[in-house]
Amino acid sequence: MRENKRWRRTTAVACAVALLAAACGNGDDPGTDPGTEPGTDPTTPTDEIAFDVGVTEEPCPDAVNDDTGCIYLGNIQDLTGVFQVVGTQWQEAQRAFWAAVNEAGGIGGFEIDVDTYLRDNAYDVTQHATGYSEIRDSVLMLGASLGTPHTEGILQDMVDDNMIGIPATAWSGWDFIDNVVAVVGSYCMHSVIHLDWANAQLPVENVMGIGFPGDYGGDVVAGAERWADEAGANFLGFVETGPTAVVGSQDAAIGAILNSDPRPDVVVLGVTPQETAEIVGGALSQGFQGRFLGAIPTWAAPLTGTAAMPALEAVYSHVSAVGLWDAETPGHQAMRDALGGTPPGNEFYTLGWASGYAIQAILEAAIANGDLTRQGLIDVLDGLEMDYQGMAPSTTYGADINEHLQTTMAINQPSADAELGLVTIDPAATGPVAESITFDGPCVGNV
Amino acid sequence: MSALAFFGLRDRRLRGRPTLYTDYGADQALLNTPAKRWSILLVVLLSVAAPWMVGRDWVLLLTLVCVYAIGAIGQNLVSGYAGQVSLGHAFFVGLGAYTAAYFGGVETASVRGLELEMWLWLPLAGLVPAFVGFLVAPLAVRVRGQYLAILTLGLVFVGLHFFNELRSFTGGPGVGRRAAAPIVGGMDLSRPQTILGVDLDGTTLYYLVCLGLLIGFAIAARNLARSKVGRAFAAVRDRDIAAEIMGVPLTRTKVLAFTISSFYAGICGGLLAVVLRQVEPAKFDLFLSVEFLAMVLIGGIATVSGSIIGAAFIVILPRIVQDLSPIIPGLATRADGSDGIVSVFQLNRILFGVLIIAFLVLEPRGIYGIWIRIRNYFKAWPFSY
Amino acid sequence: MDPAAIVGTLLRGLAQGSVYALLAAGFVIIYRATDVINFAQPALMVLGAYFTVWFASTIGLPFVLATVAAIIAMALVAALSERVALRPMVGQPVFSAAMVTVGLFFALQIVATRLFPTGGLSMPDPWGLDRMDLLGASVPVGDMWRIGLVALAFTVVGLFLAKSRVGLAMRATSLDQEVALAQGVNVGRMFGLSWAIAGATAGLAGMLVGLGGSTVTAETAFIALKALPVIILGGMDSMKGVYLAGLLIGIAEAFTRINAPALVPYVGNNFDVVVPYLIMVLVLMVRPYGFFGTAEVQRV
Repeated sequence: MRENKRWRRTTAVACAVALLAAACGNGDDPGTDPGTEPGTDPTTPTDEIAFDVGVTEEPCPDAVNDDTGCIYLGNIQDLTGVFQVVGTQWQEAQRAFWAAVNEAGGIGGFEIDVDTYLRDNAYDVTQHATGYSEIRDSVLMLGASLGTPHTEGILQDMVDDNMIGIPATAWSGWDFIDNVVAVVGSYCMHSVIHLDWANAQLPVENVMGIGFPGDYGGDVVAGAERWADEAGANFLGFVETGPTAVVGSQDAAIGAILNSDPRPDVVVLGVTPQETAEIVGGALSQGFQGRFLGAIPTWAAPLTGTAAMPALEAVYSHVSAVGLWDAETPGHQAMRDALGGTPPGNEFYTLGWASGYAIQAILEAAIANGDLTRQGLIDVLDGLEMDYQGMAPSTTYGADINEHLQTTMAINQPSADAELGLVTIDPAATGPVAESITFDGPCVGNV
Repeated sequence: MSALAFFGLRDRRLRGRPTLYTDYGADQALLNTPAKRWSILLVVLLSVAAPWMVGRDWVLLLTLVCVYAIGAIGQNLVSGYAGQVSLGHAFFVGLGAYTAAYFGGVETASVRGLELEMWLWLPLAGLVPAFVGFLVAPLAVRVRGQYLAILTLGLVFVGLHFFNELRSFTGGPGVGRRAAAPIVGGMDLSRPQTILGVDLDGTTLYYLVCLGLLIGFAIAARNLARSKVGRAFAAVRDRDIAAEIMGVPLTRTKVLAFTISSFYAGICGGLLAVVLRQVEPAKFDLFLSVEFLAMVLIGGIATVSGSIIGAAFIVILPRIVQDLSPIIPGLATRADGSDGIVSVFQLNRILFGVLIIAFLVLEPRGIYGIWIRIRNYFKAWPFSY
Repeated sequence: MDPAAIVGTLLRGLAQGSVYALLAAGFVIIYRATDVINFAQPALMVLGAYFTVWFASTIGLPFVLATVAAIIAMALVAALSERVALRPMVGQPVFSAAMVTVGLFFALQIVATRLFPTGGLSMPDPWGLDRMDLLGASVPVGDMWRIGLVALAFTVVGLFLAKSRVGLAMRATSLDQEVALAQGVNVGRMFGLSWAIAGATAGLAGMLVGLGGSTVTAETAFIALKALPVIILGGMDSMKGVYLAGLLIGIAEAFTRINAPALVPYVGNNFDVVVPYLIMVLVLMVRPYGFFGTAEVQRV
């Protein structure tokens, strides 16, 4: 008993000392901070390029070639929270993308590092804010910032820091915010293109939307409503639901479909795979005969093993702004080469890889301009040609979203034979509404 | 009554006998020992000087510590001092955040806002939750113990429903709304300003504001705890029937505890929203309530300083784990941990849970209890008892 | 509503309520023995779902055996958790012990996140989306198994607690630990045993939650929070109470879910999420210890 007590006391003292040491220690040691050292060594080829924060003359940690400088990209991802299926895959794609770029010699004498300033937000706004404050003085730009309210929360700081960032969400509001560079079409636009495509097959007269309210499901359904307005179809309403783990079951959504008069020809979904299978399977087994149109996050490979798979195969289609991982384009081929034959965890990997091309375009333009500072990045954005190597249509970035809307996307459908459970049936779907629609604000929420 | 007391302040203490009190007032003073006076002075000075000693990221963490500490003091008042364990704190924090956002926020096409200044919206952010707390407390007074914990948990779920649905006030789920700006006299306290010739960046200025508020609210809570009300709280906590027999009005005391606690929670919410800038309903979930309860249990039950230490522990622990965990060998390099056992980020979360367990297993009285033990050890030194 | 729809909704509510009741049973068994609400129960449940799929799909056991194996595995995991994290808390304040279970939840939940493959797992149950006709309504076959298996589980666990010698020792422990110890009951072992039984119920609940033709992910764990109003409503130490309360809440939810959007649209979307808590508050106003909970004897 005495032994035990003494041990406890020692532990207690040790803990207290450790706490004090950690709390008093200066976490921001300028001596080891690679981001704040301006380039001074005149012997490397980078000397005619101006740079300051987030770029160093010294090579990256684990650099392929020690003669290169280093560009640090910050990434704030959800790696352990409810959207870790998005964050981990997106981040893995980023790592693989830049590893390939570095392997091929880097950009303009620099290699790119996405590991040092990777932070986990666990899909929590507080952790997102603290994560950003840790890396804000050390990175050139944000390679990915996951979460809509999360990214909006750090927006003022980003403006103060002259920082640009790539959002790892497809909320339509990003197209109206200066420091955030959306790489692909919004969820809102996904629905417009998807409905155009469905309308060419069916015709679509009655549209219903089911989704989580907010930046994702709300945007998806708002797009469906916009489409119905433009195409003269009948919008039957937005049935708001929640994750099954929160609301218990999707019976309310299924009931809304079955009890609707007239019944919808198509139901646009903005939910997660779990709810997709439950809604599609449940509605079909109770006699519903319409179709379901799902946004990118409504699908996951394991759905092929569920009892709902026959129903999904029959009536579900999937839209993706970037072609599926097995598409035949140079960009996809480069991604598959990096993967070495195994499929990625999900299609967010493909999105993450595609976002690499956008960042590469920004960095290369800035280097070509001789100004690799944060302001230098902002200066090259307007009119920047973004070439996704075929993964998505090339665009000329600009302040007005209506001049560079993504009007074609891939339409896919389930197949148990495909490794991620989807095969593309139309790699470049578009339609009259997609080509004529314009936006003057976000489909949902405010900027 | 000793004759010394007649000689006024100078001679109220015997030299070299700091804990010998010769009158009730000295015993009950806020800072009743020289050690307390000196250590508090030192801590306050260090806290004020901190922004010039540490990086901006730590200033933000310290701001969060101050803000969460105000909420934790509120939690401790109802759960630690008055013994009414509430899991509803997140609801009142959220209510405070949205009250502040409504009175202080900017009106847009989809949300309402009055754009009042901070000296108006901050008190309102406390008063509105206090009033709601006052209204719901009579329901909570009927049940005790863990029944009460789950009953108050219901508040969080009902509150989330309101936050999700009252969209002209809250912006709705997944989107949220802008927080109120901390403007006093036309000056935004979260933006760079020059005050008395000192250039302060927004993070530092807002940290100093929160620190000042924390000191004020901590003193107020400490004062409350040593008053008649505080003694009533303690009596209700220790044995409520006995308290009732002694003439402590049970319902009134419990309702008062909930009301004051909700006020603190609301202030915390209003201040927190400024840090987060975007207020989204999902923030105010069960997890936030559990965090506040963890702060109280880990810091120390029924101590104001324990609440602050607990808040510091919960806010800073993830950062310390993050800074230390790369030295642990054998971690997976992939973000999802698929090429090893776990990734560093997964390990961070596991360690967060494990450290909470470890602290409570080793020292159920919390970090404050560790301090008491260290203090007693040195007081009795060289004797071990 | 036409009669068939009423029967259909009723059965749907009974099925879901049965699962809530089973989840609540896990809380009750541990609360009875240790006076602690086990907040790690959601993580145990989702690990139960994982083990069921793992035994069935990876090991290749028939589904029935896989379920049994998962139940046993979860009993072991729970007993181990108790031994490591909770046993040192014996004699400490119950809220500190409850907070330890919160820490345990964080740790186990990340383990679950790590175990589940990207996109989740699908339960290889033999029922899928099959439906059958019952009393004029078309109901999912899986729902009938939920109702049946939970009733069976409550019978088995209830009989064990009421009739066996070990069950008697467990009840003695929950009444007074010191007296039980004096009577030769190994109190520590009883704590471990109650965690093991709670883990077993969580294992079965994990399988039942996974039915319905969709997938299970680590986040599915949070559905176990639905059991919290159930345990308050039924009484935290009453197996009979939580069974009835679970069914009641399941039925109330099911009818709200179907009817609230049309009848009372002004209460907002997904009002069914708050209905269990509203029922809980109303009942506590009348009966502070739920339907069947034991009122605390108050002494000065």
